[in-house]
Amino acid sequence: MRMIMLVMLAILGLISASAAAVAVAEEEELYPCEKCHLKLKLTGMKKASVYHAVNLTIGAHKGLVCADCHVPPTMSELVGGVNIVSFYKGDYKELNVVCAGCHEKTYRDYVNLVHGNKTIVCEGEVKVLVKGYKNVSYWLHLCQDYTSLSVVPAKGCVECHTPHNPHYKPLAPLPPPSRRPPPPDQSVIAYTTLGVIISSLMLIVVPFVVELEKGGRRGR
Amino acid sequence: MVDETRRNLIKAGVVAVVGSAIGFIAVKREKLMELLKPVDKVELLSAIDREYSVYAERAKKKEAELKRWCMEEAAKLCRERGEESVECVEAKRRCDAIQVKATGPRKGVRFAMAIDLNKCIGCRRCAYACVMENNQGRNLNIEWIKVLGVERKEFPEILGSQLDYEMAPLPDTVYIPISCMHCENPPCVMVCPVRATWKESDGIVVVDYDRCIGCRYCIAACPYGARYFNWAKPVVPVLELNPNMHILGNVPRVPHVVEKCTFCIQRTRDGGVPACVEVCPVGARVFGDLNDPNSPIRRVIERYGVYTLKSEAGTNPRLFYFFGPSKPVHKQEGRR
Repeated sequence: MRMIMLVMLAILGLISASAAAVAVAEEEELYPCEKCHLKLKLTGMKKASVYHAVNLTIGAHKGLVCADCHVPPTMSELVGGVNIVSFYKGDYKELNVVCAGCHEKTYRDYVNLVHGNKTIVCEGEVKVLVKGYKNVSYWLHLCQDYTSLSVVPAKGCVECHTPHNPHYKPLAPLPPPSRRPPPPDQSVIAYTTLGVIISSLMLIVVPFVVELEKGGRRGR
Repeated sequence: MVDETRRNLIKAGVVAVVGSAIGFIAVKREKLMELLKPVDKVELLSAIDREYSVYAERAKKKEAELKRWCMEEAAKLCRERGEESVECVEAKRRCDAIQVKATGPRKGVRFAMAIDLNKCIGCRRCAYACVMENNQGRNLNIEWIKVLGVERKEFPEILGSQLDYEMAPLPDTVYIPISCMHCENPPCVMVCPVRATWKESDGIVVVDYDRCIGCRYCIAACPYGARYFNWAKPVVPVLELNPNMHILGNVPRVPHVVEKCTFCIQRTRDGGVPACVEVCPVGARVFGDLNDPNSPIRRVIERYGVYTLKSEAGTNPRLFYFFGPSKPVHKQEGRR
């Protein structure tokens, strides 16, 4: 009886171990840290691999350490409870909780549609990119019904601000306004008006003259 | 001779007395008194109980007219590019989608906009989005939004501002986007001789393009230069047409009328935000209802405080400016 129990336990342990191995398989190559750090002889904040190119001694998040946002030891889980590996390319708004931890004021502004981009949504919405005026592109909303629109934040925090250096880089300005076409020439307007007045006068006067002439002939 | 004149006079007098007596008896006193009442300012400024059925009817007519015009243009396009081409199919679909609305103002709503001058980088994306959204003529170069580059100093001078800068954002420059201010006391409304422009009860100053006679008094009266006169027929390509239209807003204009910003009436009346607010890459624009305590605009006013342009003109604008919490972007180098 005891033997059977032991075998059962062993099997259970094996199953759970293999499951864990699958979960961490993607991070395996990055972990443990010594794997790279010893090989590259790196110390402190300096990192060299693609994932580790972040330098927190400069930039807007200067002074923070990785563990302020990424929960050690795997670093794939963020402080708000989102896992980057499982999140990968999901809705970026899910990551807002991480930023909200410190930037509470800004987050309140964001939720209240003061900070950040806003967009309208409607039923059966299709967004069409139109290249129009002076070759500037614009996203046109094509809806089934335009009478029920609502406003939502358009982007998550990290879509504008790189989390590792949140400064926003300004965009280049579009071309300046061009000169408006000049109004029609004043003399043209004057002559046209004069022409219209004269022709209308002719229209009134000519029938009278014709009538008079007819009358004169009859009289003769 | 004298007798005859006197008799005629008496006859005329009797007729007048009998006529007025009949009038006095037949017509209700209240109706007569109404004629004597002076026109109320509130009635002049806001047409709260304006009958929108008139506009709905007109919108229906306009929609049919526009669809006919659009299909003609699409047919031309199809002849040029071929029936199976992407443009032809897209143009036809766009023509079908045209909707001219006549949505009335919602009760208890007062729209306002605020612009964060610390955030604005002067990129002019709002001006271009406005052109596209409001079906403005591509041939006339009318842009309802202008962005002024003003030097950042103790007393910034609008007069010395730049409209045609090509590098932005520059350090020590504030970018001030201006458009119609939707004033509480709009001077343009007061001077209009035919009442073609008025302030709606939700705070939007609109122009009735069918009633406008093109006298341009309002352009002279506006202290902000926010109104524009189209000197020719505006040309809008079918493929760029915005099918979401409002009869008092972005419906393609007839020539020789005054046009201006309407807070994107076709979007905001139905719960959206104007195109400039949506397109702003830095999120500098905030739009909302002043009467709603939870609206973004109220949050801005309560937390940061706002000011207006040319407040000495007494127009009481509803387009606010404020300096938000973020550091000005202008510290960084300008881009070309």
